Amino acid sequence: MNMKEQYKRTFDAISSDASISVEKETMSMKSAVNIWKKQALAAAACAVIFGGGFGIYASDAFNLKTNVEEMVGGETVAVEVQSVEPGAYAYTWTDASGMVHELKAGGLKDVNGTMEPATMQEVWEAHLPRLYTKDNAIFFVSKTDIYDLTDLFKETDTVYFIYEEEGENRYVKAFVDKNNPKSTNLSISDQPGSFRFGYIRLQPE
Amino acid sequence: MRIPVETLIASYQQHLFRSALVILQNNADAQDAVQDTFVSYYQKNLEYQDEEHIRAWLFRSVINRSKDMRRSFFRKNQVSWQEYMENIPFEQKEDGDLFAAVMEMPWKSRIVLQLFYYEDYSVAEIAQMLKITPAAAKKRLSRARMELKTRLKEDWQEEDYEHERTI
Repeated sequence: MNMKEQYKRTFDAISSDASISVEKETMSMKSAVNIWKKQALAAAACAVIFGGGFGIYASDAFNLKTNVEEMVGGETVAVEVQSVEPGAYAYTWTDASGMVHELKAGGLKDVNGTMEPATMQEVWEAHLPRLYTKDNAIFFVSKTDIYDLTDLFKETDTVYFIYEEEGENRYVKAFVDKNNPKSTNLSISDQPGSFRFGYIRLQPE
Repeated sequence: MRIPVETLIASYQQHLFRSALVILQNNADAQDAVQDTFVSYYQKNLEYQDEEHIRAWLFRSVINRSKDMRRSFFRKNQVSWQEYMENIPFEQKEDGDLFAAVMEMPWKSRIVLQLFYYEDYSVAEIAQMLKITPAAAKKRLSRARMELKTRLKEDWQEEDYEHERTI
């Protein structure tokens, strides 16, 4: 076996388990572009009910830093927002335990058939942290409710579920690496996507 | 020509992911880069000469996206490639050694190796893809191979050199 063959064998072992949605709704990013949401969140940030309501953003001007107050995991926190490019923002906040969290996300929205950059608030709402782990427990937090998903993750790393928010069904694919609970992926859509069966409907606690 | 994005995802998702991974060294970031690349293909609605043209465009896009993401300051609290590697089902122990040796190199060497060894691109094509001169691409590849040889203490196959010389 030459180097090229060994190299190919080595990298053949690597694969992505991400399912990329090809739903038109998702691809056109009507609500938010990036369906892969990074959750670099500490376990300590877990789990009270969202108080609802979002901060008022003063400006979406490029590269401008703005400070707003948001509810994250039941805590009111000061979030510093920076516009890093049109429609893409970096959010930084410190939780009650002193841990600093950062989230970068972006999106486009469909305005009368024209794609335009989403605002800071729209992107935050689409990407706000919702999946938390603490002491081997896994929680999902909607705008109004909290759900304990621990049992659902017992035999799998990926869970598909539906919850209701603002009177609409939300279809969710949630991934948690049990060997590294901080490694999570979450995609939320108002359409069931290509995985049309097998969603578990959640009821608030 | 255009190929439906579903078809491209089926054909190229894993290849693009591997290239993004060698640049970003992070599973979630690499998935992001691949997703962004397919979204970009879908949204731009460009016309291409043939499938090879589309493939090259996808690789250029995922590489550029990955480079942009590397520059982003939002790269903290991430899973290290060493942790990620623990769950990769390598066939042989030496495959894990090779993976680790590649990942320990600078990203510019990693992506050149990936495009050359895994994706079978020529030095000229790699140069075009990375927007560098063929001489620079050749130099990067040569250095990367020497570095691999040093790290792995293995002999290189002559046929690889032949391949490079014919470009």
